Amino acid sequence: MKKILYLMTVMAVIAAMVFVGVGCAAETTETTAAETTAGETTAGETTAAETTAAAEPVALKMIHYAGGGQDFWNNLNASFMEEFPNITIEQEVVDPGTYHQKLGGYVSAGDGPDIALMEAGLSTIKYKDVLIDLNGKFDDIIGSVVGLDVYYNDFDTSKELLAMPSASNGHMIYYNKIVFEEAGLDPENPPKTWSEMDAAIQKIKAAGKEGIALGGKEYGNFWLWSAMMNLTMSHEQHLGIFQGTTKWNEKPLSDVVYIFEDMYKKGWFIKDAALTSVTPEAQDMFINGDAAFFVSLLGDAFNWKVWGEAMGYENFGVMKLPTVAADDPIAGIVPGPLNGTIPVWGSYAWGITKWSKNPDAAVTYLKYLLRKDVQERFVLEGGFFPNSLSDFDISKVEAPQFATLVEYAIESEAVPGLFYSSPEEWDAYIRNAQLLLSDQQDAKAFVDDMQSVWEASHK
Amino acid sequence: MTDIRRSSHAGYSAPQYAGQNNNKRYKWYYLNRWEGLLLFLPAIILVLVFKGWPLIQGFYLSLTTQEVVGQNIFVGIENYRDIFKDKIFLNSLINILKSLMVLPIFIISPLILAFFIHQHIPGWKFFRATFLFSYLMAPVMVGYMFSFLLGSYGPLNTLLKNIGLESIAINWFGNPKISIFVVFGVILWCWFGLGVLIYLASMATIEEDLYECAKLDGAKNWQILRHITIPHIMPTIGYWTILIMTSFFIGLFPFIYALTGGGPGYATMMPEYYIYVVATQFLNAGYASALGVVLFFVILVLSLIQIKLMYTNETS
Repeated sequence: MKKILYLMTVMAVIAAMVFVGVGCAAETTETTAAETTAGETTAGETTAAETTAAAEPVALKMIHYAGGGQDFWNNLNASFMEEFPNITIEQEVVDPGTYHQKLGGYVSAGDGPDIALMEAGLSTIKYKDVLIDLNGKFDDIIGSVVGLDVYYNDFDTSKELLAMPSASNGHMIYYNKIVFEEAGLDPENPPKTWSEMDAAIQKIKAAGKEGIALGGKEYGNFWLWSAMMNLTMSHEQHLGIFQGTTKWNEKPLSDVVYIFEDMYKKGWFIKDAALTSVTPEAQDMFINGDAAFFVSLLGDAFNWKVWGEAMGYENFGVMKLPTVAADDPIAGIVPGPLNGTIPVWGSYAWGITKWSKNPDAAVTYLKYLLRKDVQERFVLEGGFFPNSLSDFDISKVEAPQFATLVEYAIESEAVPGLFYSSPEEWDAYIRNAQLLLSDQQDAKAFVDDMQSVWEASHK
Repeated sequence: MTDIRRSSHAGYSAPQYAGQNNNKRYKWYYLNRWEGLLLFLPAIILVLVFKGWPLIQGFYLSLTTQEVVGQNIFVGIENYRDIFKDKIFLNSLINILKSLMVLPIFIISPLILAFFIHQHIPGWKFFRATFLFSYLMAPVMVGYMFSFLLGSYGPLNTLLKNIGLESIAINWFGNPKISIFVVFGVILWCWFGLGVLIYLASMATIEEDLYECAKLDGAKNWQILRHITIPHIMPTIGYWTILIMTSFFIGLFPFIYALTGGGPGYATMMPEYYIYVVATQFLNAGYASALGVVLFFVILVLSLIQIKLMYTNETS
């Protein structure tokens, strides 16, 4: 009798498990179906849903790397939630170096945040199938946004608008004035030509300091690379990398790699740049005065405000990448039409994911970020660069570097450089640069490998 | 001698009842078999649902591509064909082969410390109290810690410079010729404690009399280790070797992630880390799954060979 009871108990437990399993599966299916319906409806009917979004409490999840600082975003989102009490913002802040790996995980899973930070070019285009089209949602403000074209599918403004930039950005150089003084250089007159830069770095090294604090372990190379591409290439040639008409192993693109190799051979970079991280290593070297230059950004992370607070605004200056001339620094190079300008583009852009149940609340949030008073906060509190240069009153920013940066941005074109490339090219670029910076290969092998990676990733 | 089968679980052994024509007990034998199966069933279901199904899904995924995000397009064995042309993956396998050069260190060094602790050498209590600390630290933390300690401008290089050894103050992870061995050094530091723990547990089963006799006969520590300890713990050494070898394939991710990202170039790229890059950076889950399936079979074959060798040695 005991055994029969025992047997019945075991069977009852198994039956319960099966029922629970089936019940969960049924519930999941129902939820998914409901989610799908909700997603389709809201994505198609913005206006009606906006009203719903305003009336019913919703929670929006956003993922980004908190450019401008975690405090800035906490304060900004708190202000937003105060003004829109029905919308709650939940942030996921990820390290910039691993951001795409994290976001890629969400894409692979087909679920995740409502709003995701996007970077210009192919970096955004690769997510095109999980982002809703923003065309028609920002018509009132779209005209004045800097560098918007790099957020359209295939860089074609007649196609889907995949993300909306909340700031603008560009690549240029910050220099440490204290190191300049120690090396006997004029801190108010940074080098403007390639020859002057070389002479300055040799003086700096003679004073026991290093030249460019390059974080070659991850994305530091991109920043330098993006700035360098303007030396020899035109806007069309930038686009040609994406379209396949500009080849890695042919001029003018290959020249950029040869110039990079020349910089390394002349000792422009810190020792062991190949595996030095941008932060904290390279960043600390610049702030502590061990290295004179740091190739960085107009806004976003590592911007004028970050350096100002860390070093004191009087202790650093801003400069463009020096200009090259015909046959200088290497034989055979021809300066391009963008030589002497910096690459700028719309930045800190936001895409809204297709799996979001509240895309209209997300649009409301993005419109808030683009509002003029909020844009001022972007600049003053976050150290960003405004997404509309024509609208912004620069007299509100006390930092002397800011006005110079605005000058640089206004005279430049929206060319996002390497950001047009595929993730495979990004990865290959970092690794080839590491190999070059550790004497494991030359520029010829570099460009040949990049071309083969390009061909493989565009087959 | 007592027949253990008869004396313990009489109801579970059918043949002994077959000849007795005891229908009631014979019926219970089969009932008990069903009972056993039923008790086993939840575990089987769990294994099938949480192990079997993901494996099947993973294999199916390896036959697809995700050129359009969110859609799995069936491509047959194309991903597997691509693997043989993938120089990064092949390079990562070569890096794994390099690990064979350091495998003896991973096996022998914890064995020696475990032996000394077991033999109560002076200071053994200190080692017993501390040897596991390194293993208790999260590998990512270990990675970041050594990334800082061994960085170009880290404390080690600063110390070397200050004592006049600037020539060897290099970026330990930045030189492709040595970076992989520096990474393995960090991993050894982390895993060492687990090896000591496993060896100590095994040594605890050896009869103390054997050591007493050996000491009375004047055996040195080396002779005791060689002729008593090692022969007795051979299966454990085999087990530890398999564990280390398989971990080289699938346990290095947090170290590579925190220390080098597979660089400089591809110098420290490991198969497991490459799969992660392909899946999350290149967003190619199909190809990443194919790499994972290949890796699974490589580990399976290596483990089977190792187990075969281990049991052959034990038998002989």
